Amino acid sequence: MTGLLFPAITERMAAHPDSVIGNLADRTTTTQVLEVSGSKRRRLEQSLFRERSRVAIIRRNSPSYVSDLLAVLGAGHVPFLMDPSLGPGELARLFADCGVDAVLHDDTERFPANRRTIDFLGSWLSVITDPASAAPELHPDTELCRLTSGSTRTPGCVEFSGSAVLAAAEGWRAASGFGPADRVLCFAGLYNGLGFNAALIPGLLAGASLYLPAGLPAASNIRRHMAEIDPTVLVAFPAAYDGLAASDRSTLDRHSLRLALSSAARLSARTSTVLTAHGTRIADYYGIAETGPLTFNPDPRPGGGQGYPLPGVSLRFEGDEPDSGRLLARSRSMGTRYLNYPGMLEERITESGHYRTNDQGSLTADGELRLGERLDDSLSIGGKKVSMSEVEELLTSHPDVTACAVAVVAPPAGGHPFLGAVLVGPRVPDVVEIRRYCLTRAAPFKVPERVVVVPEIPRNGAGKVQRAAVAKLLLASLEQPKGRAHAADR
Amino acid sequence: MPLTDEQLSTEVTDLIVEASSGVVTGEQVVDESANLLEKGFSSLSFLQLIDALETRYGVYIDLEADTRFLGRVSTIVKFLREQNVG
Repeated sequence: MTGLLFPAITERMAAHPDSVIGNLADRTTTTQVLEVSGSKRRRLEQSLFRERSRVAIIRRNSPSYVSDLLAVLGAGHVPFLMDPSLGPGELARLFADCGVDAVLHDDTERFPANRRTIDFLGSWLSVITDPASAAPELHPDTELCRLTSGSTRTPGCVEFSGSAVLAAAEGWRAASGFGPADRVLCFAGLYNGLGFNAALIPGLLAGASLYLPAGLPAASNIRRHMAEIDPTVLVAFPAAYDGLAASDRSTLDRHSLRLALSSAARLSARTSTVLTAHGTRIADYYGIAETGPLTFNPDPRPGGGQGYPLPGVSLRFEGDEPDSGRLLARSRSMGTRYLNYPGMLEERITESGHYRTNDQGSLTADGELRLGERLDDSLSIGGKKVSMSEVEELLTSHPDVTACAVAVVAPPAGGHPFLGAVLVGPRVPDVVEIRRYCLTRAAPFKVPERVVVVPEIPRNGAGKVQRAAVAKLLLASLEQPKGRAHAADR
Repeated sequence: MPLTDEQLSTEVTDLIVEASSGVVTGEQVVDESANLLEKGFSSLSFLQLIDALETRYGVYIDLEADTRFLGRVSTIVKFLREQNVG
């Protein structure tokens, strides 16, 4: 049984046979991607015999990502889209907790020997030979799973029905005006909401051309892609736009961009202003994994909010004011539940069917959403969320760390904010050993960049960690970069 | 006057410290028993280092290819020499 997603996507792709799904090195057409996905589907049928097998897709952006996804859907299996930066320990736990049967990936070094690995036409298929015996059952409507971070203690696996995925994409396509003439350049990972809901699926449904680079979104790399592809839509996290705004902007005036999309972290007003002056207006929208995209503004302005509710979206606020407070959101693209945290998503749904987010917000007089502070202890690191408690648990799992506290710190001389930690313990090892230990267990963005050993964690009289004092200790440990020192002297 | 390997290493070390906003120290950078990721380099630091190297030396770093050479000063210097820098 192939569900709703596979026929909906492939029929629309077939209607636009010459659209490109590629990157700089490989400009394949939609027709070619459909042919490859058919071959991959037949290989899956020879390798996976359980109905609705759970297939993790863990790879960087590429045309192969699309044919892998279609092959899994077409074979009636369930794709689990996972962040390729997750650590081996996190992946092992997710595989066990979610009952993953096989992995499609582009990195044979990362997947250990208890898997049978075969060539999968540009990807590798690793079949797990010792799958979890007591995996939770999938909801009957589930066609695809994606991960959330920050809402649950470790990555939560959100189940989505085909109709929810299609509703997110159709709503986005209608609001953003995606069409066959668009060339969408997507630097956001396709496993992520920004890449998946705001580029990949609406792009495929619209018959747009999709360009899916695997490399880091350094400013020079974005400029190179813009020069060669001349995209009409750019999709990237705020840090990529920050880099673009800070770099040589002389090449930014000649382009066909009609839309630049950003999400997941606060967009700097300065970045937005600089790029607007060069004809690139960035639409910063609000969405979360559990609900899909919620807002959009087709006419963004620097310093503006996160846009207006998408069709079918209802926003409410919990608190004393009618139009501000904790955000409650209901959409047609809601996840069904967390596969590996039973009951936790359902607990957050109100009687009216709204999901209780961890964000504060308010509506302006004309109905635009303005996000406020987070209400939980989650941190945003380069567009990815992680809870402070998850990072602190990771650190204190090291046998020589007895206590710790983390903070995100902005260097006063400029540069990007960094995640740091103060550690207590009788024999705390150096930063390299701590990071090596953590990197084998968790994604790099969850591992503090700087660690400082202290005699005790700064706490107030009530025993609460004083984050400002933690930040001060971390700042005091920094080396003053020579370039910045000279700049400050001038 | 062409740069010696030592001078080029010193310049690259300074760029690395600056790209990390001082999170990774010069002393840490020159110790090559670990790579920059293990020393505290984040993806944002790598983004800034790539831009700094391309701007300073006029080189092209193909980010779709293997970029593991960005993990240590010596391999960055080797890459720059291969691009006829210095």
